[in-house]
Amino acid sequence: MKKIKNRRKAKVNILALIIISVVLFLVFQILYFFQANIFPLIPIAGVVPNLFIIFILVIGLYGNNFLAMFYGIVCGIWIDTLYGEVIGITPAMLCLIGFIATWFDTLWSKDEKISIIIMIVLSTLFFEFGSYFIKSIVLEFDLELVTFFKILLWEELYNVLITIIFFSVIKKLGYIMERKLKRNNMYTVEL
Amino acid sequence: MGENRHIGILGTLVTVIILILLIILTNVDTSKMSYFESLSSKITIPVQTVFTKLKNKITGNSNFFTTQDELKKENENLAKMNSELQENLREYEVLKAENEILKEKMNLTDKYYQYQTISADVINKDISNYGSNLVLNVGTDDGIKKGMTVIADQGLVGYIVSTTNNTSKVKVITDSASTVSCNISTTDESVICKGTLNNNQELRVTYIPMNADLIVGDSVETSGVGGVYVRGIHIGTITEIITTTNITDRYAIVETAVDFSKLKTVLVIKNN
Repeated sequence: MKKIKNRRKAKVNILALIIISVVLFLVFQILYFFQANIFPLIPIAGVVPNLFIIFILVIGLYGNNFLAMFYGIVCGIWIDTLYGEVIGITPAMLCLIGFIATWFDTLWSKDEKISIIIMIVLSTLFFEFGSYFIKSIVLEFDLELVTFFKILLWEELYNVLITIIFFSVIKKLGYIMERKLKRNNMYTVEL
Repeated sequence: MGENRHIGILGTLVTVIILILLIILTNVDTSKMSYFESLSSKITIPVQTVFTKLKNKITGNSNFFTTQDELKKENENLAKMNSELQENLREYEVLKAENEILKEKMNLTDKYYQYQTISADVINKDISNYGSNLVLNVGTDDGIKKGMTVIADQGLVGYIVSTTNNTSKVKVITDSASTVSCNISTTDESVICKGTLNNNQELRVTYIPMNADLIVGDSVETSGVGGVYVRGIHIGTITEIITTTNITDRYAIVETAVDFSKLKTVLVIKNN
């Protein structure tokens, strides 16, 4: 009897996980559309935000580290395949952002706007600097740190502005995802 | 009883008087009645005039409403015609743009006639703030291979770094990871042009020979050294020379001939 119950539970868990994964992939596609087509039209000082960092961070904060890291890899491969000269740096960095997000969740409250802003700033810094530094080694080019940090400053500002504007939406959708995951106890998939 | 009889007699009398009056009035010549007529006219004409004016006004308004309806219809027709014309204009603009692109491709092909080229459109640009790679709408199915040089009407764009069946990625010369071996056209000095993060239109000229005499406005072109790029393709012009205390560290800024923000059509050179 217990075995049948566990099997049923596992089936429900996997189904919910698939649904959430599909929804997240659709959200990623929408974000990609905005990143590639809309934001280049409205840059701040010639700089566009990085929506994928916010996306992975939110999955990590409200979902779980498995989903965040998985989506970090999926998004990263997608971006690198389309634009990158070397495939692997972006997925690795986004995967790390997913991992760090769950760590941030234990440190700070995700209900506070200020703590979310701090998380966004740190994640953007970590992702962009990490990617740039690794690329400079792999592709053998000189680091231009002053220019890099100038661009990064504008990018941080843009990311923070977007987070502030969409904070309530992010929070609402994040909690929906969290409830779905917790209800189905997907932190541990029983088989 | 007597009262009722009196009332009856009075009523009969009034009726008789009315009858006699009617008989007289209907049988008398009307010309003899002119005085009465003019009197009645004097009384009735001002009233009649007021009513006539009022009537005219109302009739006029109804004409106004009729005209407004007609105008409305006319306006609708004009709006319809306007939208049709606008649609035609849009079609014309699309055709004009297509024509310009085709002309540009033709010019490009004529200009670089010594090379076997494939024309391509830029379909995507790097979404990152730190890279400037391009994606073209041609791939291995069109004969594109890794390492081929990509040029535009004004000069060098970059080279192919990877391809799929239908698309190819171009590493642009302004990318911070890009390095091009160049020649200064006036002095024929060999230098290295590197992409920068700073500007999408700038290259940094480094490794300038100590005895080289650079001048602002000098043209820079590919040297062909290294085998990545074809020799003699225009890159840009020197806009600034930065001298340092150590002459070996001096560098120059080159403004690229190609405006990468407006780049739409390119040529891929097949016979590198």
